[in-house]
Amino acid sequence: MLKHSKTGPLKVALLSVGPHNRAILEFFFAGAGRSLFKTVSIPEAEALIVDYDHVGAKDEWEQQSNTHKPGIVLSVHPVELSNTIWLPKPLTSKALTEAVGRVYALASAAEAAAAPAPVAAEPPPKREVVREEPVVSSSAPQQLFGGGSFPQPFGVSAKPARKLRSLVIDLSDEDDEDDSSLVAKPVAPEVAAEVEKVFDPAEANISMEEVARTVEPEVPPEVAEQRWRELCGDREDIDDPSDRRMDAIFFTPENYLLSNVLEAVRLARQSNQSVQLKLPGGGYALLMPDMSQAYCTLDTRADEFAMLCNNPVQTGQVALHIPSSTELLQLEEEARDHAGGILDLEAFIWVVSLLTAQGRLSRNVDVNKRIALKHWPNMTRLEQFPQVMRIAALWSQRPGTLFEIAKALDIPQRYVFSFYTAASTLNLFELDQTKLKSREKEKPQESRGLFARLLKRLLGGGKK
Amino acid sequence: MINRKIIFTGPVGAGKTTAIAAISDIKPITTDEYASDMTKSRKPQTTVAMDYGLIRLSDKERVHLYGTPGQERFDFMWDILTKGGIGLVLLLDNTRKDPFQDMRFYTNAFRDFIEKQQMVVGVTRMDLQHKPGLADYRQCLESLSLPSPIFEIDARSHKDVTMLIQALLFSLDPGVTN
Ligand SMILES: Nc1nc2c(ncn2[C@@H]2O[C@H](COP(=O)(O)OP(=O)(O)OP(=O)(O)O)[C@@H](O)[C@H]2O)c(=O)[nH]1
Ligand SMILES: [Mg+2]
Repeated sequence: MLKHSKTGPLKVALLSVGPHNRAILEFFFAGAGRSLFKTVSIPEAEALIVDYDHVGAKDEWEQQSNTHKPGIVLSVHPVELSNTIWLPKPLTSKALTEAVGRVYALASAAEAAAAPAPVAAEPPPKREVVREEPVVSSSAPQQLFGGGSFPQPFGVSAKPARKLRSLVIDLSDEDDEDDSSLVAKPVAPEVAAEVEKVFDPAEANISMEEVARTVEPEVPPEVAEQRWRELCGDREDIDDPSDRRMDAIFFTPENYLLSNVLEAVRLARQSNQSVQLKLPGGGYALLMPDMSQAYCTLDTRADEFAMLCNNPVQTGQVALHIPSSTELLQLEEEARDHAGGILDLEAFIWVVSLLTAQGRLSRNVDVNKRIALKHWPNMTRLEQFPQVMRIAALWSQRPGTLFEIAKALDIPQRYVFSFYTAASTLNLFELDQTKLKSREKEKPQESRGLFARLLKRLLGGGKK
Repeated sequence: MINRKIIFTGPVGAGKTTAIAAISDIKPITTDEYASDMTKSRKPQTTVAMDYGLIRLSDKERVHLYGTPGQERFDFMWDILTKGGIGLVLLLDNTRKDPFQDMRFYTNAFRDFIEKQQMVVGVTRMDLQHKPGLADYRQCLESLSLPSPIFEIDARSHKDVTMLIQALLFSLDPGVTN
């Protein structure tokens, strides 16, 4: 690696350079090549960089040739021009680093040839060039910006990350070290001043290649809304808890399949064995506590299943069964053959609770009691309904009654009721009143718009 | 220009690079070799090899995505975090020998930032290994007094990673509407 230590970086100006290579150069100049190159305007430059594969580049170089500044020519193919050096694409850190020394060599050769008559342009000052032993010697040129050609900028797929592993201290996989040796010293903002300045790509404002993300087909709104009605009902809000319509919002869990499901889950967990729940109509659900999975022969999104959950069951219609080991092998094989019917055990309980309650509350709920969410539901594996994330977020920060949470978020009560029923069936609420505390932090008001725009972007499936 | 930042951290192979790629507008870059060029002559600890991705909201607004390298200390991140850091995404690999140790390590390393801002946790590779389960992670979070959202995710899934970010944003401000 070449490094010139005394007189600062080589001043360069960019002529025509395609956006991809421009981004690479800018990134290199801002980071690893910071001490080697500095971009300046053409008159100030000691050397000019031109992308010979870019349209108009040849003409532009021609026009500049009367300035007699040495050129760094980037091209896929070898280019031989006087007073230039050629850098093959794709660019590498090694080639860029070495380019500095080559440009100086070029300049001094030109100087010698032109002597004693002075050249028109002032020759670049002579610099001391220090040759350093490369730490990693490799015969193949080091590919800094990715193995392939365009469009593969910055070597994502080349997986260079692995290389650094030998340099960094990592958490050990193998040894049982005691905690203290692994605990990093808590760092505080005050120490930032002493910390070495780190190259921050956010400040380099580099342009990079966009990725096209395929947009997942959206569920038609009327289909989604129909499902939300199945899950959360369509009850109007009740402003006053003493309203006589309140009676209608309660249900008795013991009358529904939900209670059998919960009993089966309890049994499965306690015995640590799979339990088969035989459903009316010949279907069944297999609860597998070991894998935290459930397999149901009925589609939990089908009307049939919704009706099964939402209508009271008679005693004797549902049966629990602990399969023998041979039965279990068969049942598990069937589950594997119908993998679409396997879901997370919590997701199964969640959807059964929702379909049972349809926005109602268990008769045992005290609507005036303040409660708080202790653990978040595993949202990525659960069926979603409107506002579910906001409800979880607020309730995990602020103890409140069902009505208070709905009011604070200004959303229909049925969504809060649904969330409560499903999440409490999963035991995610804090029951100990003495442990309730507010964890609310100051809200960054000015961020609200930005957050909303970010959400919109992400939920739009990557669309702008 | 408004620059806000989301940091992805976690042990080797937890899915940081993959998760950034799942939501970034640009092909993520890795600053590894820039960093190694800079620091060959220095102590290895100063090496900073970050993943970097970007979500452009408008000409004036950007959300930058950083993936931390597997280093023992993260002091250097303060420089970046203090300028617009909005939250931390901790990814844990369920197939690691002791992911709870990882959880303790990373939550401790970023504790001040988590207290000031917000953390969400994604547990990856649960498809490869079911145990420990999410309930065990919830216990661990509780023992650390951290009520953060924690989800099972596949870092390759745009939907899963998006849901983590949603939880992060709503936790920062449940009043945000979408
Ligand atoms: N099966 C499975 N593979 C996953 C999951 N999440 C990530 N991976 C894969 O795990 C591998 C490692 O992911 P990376 O994104 O490289 O992990 P990283 O955290 O960036 O790792 P380092 O950069 O080495 O610290 C990739 O091949 C991913 O595709 C998951 O949930 N399930
Ligand atoms: Mg990585």
